[in-house]
Amino acid sequence: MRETLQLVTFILRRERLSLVLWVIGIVGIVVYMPFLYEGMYPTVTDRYAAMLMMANPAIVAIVGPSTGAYTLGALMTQEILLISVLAVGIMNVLLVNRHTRVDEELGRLELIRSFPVGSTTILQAVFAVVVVANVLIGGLVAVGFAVSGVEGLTVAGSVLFGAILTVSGLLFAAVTAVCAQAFSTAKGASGAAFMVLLVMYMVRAVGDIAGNFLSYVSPLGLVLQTRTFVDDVWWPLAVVLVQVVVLSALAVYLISQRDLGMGLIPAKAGPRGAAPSLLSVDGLAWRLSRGSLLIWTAGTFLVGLAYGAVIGEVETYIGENEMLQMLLASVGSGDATGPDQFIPFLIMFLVIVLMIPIVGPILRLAGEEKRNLTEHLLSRVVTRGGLLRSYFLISMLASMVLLAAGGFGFWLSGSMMLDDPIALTTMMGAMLVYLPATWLLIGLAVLLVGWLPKFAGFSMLMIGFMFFIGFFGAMLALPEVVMNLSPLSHVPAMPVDDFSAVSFSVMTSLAVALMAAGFVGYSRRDMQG
Amino acid sequence: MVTLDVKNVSKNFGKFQALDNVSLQVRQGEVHGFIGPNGAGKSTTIRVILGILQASEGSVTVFGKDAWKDKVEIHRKISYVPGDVNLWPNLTGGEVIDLFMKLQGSGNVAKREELIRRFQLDPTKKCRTYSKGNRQKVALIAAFATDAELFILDEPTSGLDPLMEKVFHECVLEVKAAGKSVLLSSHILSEVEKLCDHVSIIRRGEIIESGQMDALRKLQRVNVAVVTEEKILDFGQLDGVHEVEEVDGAVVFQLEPRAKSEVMRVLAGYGVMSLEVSPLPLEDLFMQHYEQGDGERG
Ligand SMILES: Nc1ncnc2c1ncn2[C@@H]1O[C@H](COP(=O)(O)OP(=O)(O)O)[C@@H](O)[C@H]1O
Ligand SMILES: [Mg+2]
Repeated sequence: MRETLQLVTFILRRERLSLVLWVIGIVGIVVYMPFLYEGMYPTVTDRYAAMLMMANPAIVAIVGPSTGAYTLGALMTQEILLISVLAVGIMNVLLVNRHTRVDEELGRLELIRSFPVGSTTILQAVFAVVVVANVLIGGLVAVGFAVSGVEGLTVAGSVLFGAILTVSGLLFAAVTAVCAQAFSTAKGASGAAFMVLLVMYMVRAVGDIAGNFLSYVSPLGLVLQTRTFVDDVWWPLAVVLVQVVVLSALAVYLISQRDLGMGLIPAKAGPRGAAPSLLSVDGLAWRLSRGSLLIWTAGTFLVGLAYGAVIGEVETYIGENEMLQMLLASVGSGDATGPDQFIPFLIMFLVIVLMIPIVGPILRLAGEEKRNLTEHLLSRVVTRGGLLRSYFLISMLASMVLLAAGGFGFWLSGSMMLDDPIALTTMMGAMLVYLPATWLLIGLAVLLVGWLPKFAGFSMLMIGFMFFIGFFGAMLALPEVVMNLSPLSHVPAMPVDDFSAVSFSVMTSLAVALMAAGFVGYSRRDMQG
Repeated sequence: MVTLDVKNVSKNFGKFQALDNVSLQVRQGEVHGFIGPNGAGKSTTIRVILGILQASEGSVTVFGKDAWKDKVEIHRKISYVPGDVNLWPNLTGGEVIDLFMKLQGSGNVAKREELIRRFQLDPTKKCRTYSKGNRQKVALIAAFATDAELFILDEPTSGLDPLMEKVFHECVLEVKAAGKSVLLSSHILSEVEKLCDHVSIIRRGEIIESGQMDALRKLQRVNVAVVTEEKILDFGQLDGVHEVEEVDGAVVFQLEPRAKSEVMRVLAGYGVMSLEVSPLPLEDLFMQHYEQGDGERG
């Protein structure tokens, strides 16, 4: 018991800054939301219109099902609950992985375990910290909502909302704890945990659109069935809590069954020597990136297929809903009543997510430098430019392959679902028009790796920023200057808007300039290792 | 012929000066020991030699070429083993060895197999499963399997067990016999004493001693054991005398060369019965340099 407490304080000390930032960040944004919605939908008519829009399958696929109620609480919950849950989930995956598999990989656990500390003690301490963090988030959000004084935010609903965040957070902590036992590398463990998160999200999306049992299979679907601020149904959350307990017990059992440093999935023997394709820096970079690129390509194609199905549903939904047709006609322009106009919205969401694997290879290079891997290469007959180029080319390849895979999947199922199919060229155009924006991000990453390698991770922040601007920018009525900082603000929303050669070429030129500057810096600067 | 010539190199990281006017020469066929405590600047010097870092001041020439401008060309004839060997977790040891040999450009397959056997490495294992010692072996095998002219080895034995250390020593001596040059950084003095003809000692970014092993010892204090008829009083007060101890009736102390004649005169007054002078082992030499500071910097 004493050891557990000591470990808990040890973890808290190491985490104090990042935990405080996560908690303040999540709680701050979530608690601010009611005030935002109060201003956005002042009258009942506004709320009714919003509810109709939000019941549209394209939106349901992304944020979750509508309850049909059009109170502020109901609208707000539909729009922000799932995103908040995902944010809390990501925090927990990173936190738990850091103190289990990452520590084990770096040999820090070995140090801790050389003191009289049992193998399960560490996991108990991590769980204790995780419980504190998640209860803090849930509690603060519940209190924040309850005292906000915004119409319709009942105490019961506020408590339920907070409890959902706490329990979902714990769920992802438990999932990660299990993954950390199963996989023998930190990357493998966090990758698996995020994959589980993604699968839960997708299963729920299918269930929510079709209105079938799949919503209840995924824990992320379950928490959306609580009808928070409408009927406050608690049982789905209780089911998730049971899952948390079972998974945590499983993690504790698994850790007691294995040796330090090993995973349950054993590493098997590999080749004695290298294949000719590996024997160059290009070959090495490709070998290191190809697995994740392949998975992302397949995943993107599937998401594209799902989008096509969603668009088909949207068509039906609009066709059946006269009120919505009128509404769309009053705000839109041209062919605004068709399902086409939801395409840019779906695509932008996909493109933002795809930015992660697209800058991945450049960030990998920065990470390898930190782990003293680049000096093996640069101390041999390898030029700086050649090294950076290998990883850069894979980023460029990823940008084209991934956007094309998404566009193709979207077109393929869309053409089967829609009465009035969209042409392949239109679909591909709507996707590929985002290429210069992805190149800008690659350019930013190359620039940072070239001059300020310590800040290479800033390109990930930029992705977060684009997400924020893309989804909340208009809602928050942010000033134009801020909106314009996101490259995505300059991409025409095809097929609704027309292709703009100016925006395409200006962004491309800027990207090329950033890349060139980055290459210059990379050839000149000191390497860390 | 001078293979490696480091001339008055300084290196600053921001305000922090890691190297201060470092000079160092390695001639062809020479095994040059580069010793100093952790944080002294050994790895930094080596990285400047390899063109991974750029010197703030001074110049480095290898095979007569500039180490920063012509780095890639120079690397054709260099094999380097870093101090902290990390490898790609998903590749096997064998794959990494092949890649390194190919990138260096002069690999020899038969040599590779021989070294794998001598170092007892299982090359089919993924690097993530390797211990520190095994990762070190991968880098050493890749380095010694090539036909380089200059071997730069940064604390290469820090993770090896004694048996493998012996194999490593053999490798260095073989390379030396073939007329190649070696720069070996280390803080294991017995190793340097065994393998090197020349040494440079670095402390806090400054070279404090440099030269042939013998010459270096001559410059230093000697160990004196003396037995006298009368008991020597207050001997420790004398200038140039250190570490005075009584061992089996003899007085044992370290003597600085400059105080030699003065101390002999004093000793004569006590009636010397026996006097033994011996060179200080490198370990003590080393201590003598570092006791002036704590040796470590953060
Ligand atoms: N990239 C860097 N930035 C700042 N300080 C550094 C950097 N690399 C090394 N140092 C510092 O320079 C000093 C010398 O380090 P190093 O050459 O690694 O020593 P050694 O190899 O002799 O142990 C240390 O104090 C270290 O902290
Ligand atoms: Mg070092």
